[in-house]
Amino acid sequence: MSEHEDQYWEKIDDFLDGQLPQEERLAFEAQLEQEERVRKDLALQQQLRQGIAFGSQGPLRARLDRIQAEYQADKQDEGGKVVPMGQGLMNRWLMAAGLLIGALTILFLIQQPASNADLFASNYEPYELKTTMRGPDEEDLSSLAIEAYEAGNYETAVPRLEAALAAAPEQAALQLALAISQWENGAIAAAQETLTPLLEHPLLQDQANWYAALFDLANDDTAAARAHLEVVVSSGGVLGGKAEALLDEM
Amino acid sequence: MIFSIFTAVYFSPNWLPFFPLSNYKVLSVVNDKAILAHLQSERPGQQDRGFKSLYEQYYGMIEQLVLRNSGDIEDAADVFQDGLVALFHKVRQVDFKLTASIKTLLYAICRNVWLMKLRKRKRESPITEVHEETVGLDAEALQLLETNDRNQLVAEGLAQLGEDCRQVLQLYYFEKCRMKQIADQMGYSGEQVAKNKKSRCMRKLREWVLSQPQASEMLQY
Repeated sequence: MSEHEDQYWEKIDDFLDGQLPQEERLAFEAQLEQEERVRKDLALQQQLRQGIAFGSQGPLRARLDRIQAEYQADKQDEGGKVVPMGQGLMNRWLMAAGLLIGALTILFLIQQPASNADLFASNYEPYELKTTMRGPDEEDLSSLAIEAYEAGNYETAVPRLEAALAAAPEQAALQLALAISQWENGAIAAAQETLTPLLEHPLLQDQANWYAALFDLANDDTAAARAHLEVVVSSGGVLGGKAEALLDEM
Repeated sequence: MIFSIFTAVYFSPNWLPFFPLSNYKVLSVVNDKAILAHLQSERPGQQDRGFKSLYEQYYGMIEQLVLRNSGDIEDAADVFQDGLVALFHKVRQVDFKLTASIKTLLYAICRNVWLMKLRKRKRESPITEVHEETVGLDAEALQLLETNDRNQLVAEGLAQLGEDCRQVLQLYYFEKCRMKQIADQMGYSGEQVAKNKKSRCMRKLREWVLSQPQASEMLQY
């Protein structure tokens, strides 16, 4: 076949695709009416085009088979019918779910007992030494230690308290102040060790057990804290009410 | 309240791609414009995204149509796939314009496909609709699916051609690519080269088909 023949079949294709300019289209339509050969060629070209499209489905069908298998597998995993949800509706549901979860979380937090760390923070304050303990000589070891302790200068207070206690070990209040100073300086084990001899002291037993309980709470040792607080409650002293309230909170 | 806002924001869809909830599949409606763009894309991966969206959104509807009209699950799967092939072919036509929703168009195609199958089984009866809207269809998209002897013969001829020829004809007549796209995809130097190649390949196919003994009767040529 010649190049001229190819152009003829191109024209038929263009006609079928609606690509012929109007003038050419009208001329071709006139030719179709007049010539049976052209009508037959047009029909043949349509059949070939359709056959090519039909024969081209193989790769597409294979892809669709795979997609369909994936879809069916997903559907089975979900255990039910897939129901499309509009983006707007999904947004509203998710927002509502978020607000509900937030509200429930707040309610949950309100209902929760305070943590041991919270209980420690709300009950702890350094032991207040009585000023009457201050000696006549402002320069003696005890007075210097008390001065540093009352000023909250615990780093200075610790060596001064240790020196004062070395000189006069019977000063239980200073030993309590030393335990608290050590605690404030982060020497937790040392603070607890300093406090231990005071737990059965006739005068400072309640205070010692109170601080021991607070230190235990800070260490998240609820059972030990409870034991110390029960000692304070049973002694019936001035700290009994606070200890009882703290036990209730726990 | 701050926590409420935080949780609401956390669970909002914008975050989901970054923090997907386990065992939760977000199934959102992909709009017609996006589906059309996917199906009309030259990239098979994009086309497959369009097909997946169509499965997720409309397979259930077509399944109901077939099940309520004397078909079974396997029929539904076949009809839906035939419908997708016809829809794919239709939306890739050069002059295609979407005048109804994809849902309505796909429903009309699948409905016709199922009617054709019922007719062949001689079980045609008034159809119970599952989608109210309808749309007129041109026959071309549906003719594509007919497995008649004539189509088989041409398909056989197509398979006889060389790989290049087969690809060019498929790109032009099935995927409705323009000559520029064919030239790009096949690595030809220009549109005219692609056009000449297509003419030569079509001539070979025509000659092969017409040389077959049964051609004259089948093609009435």
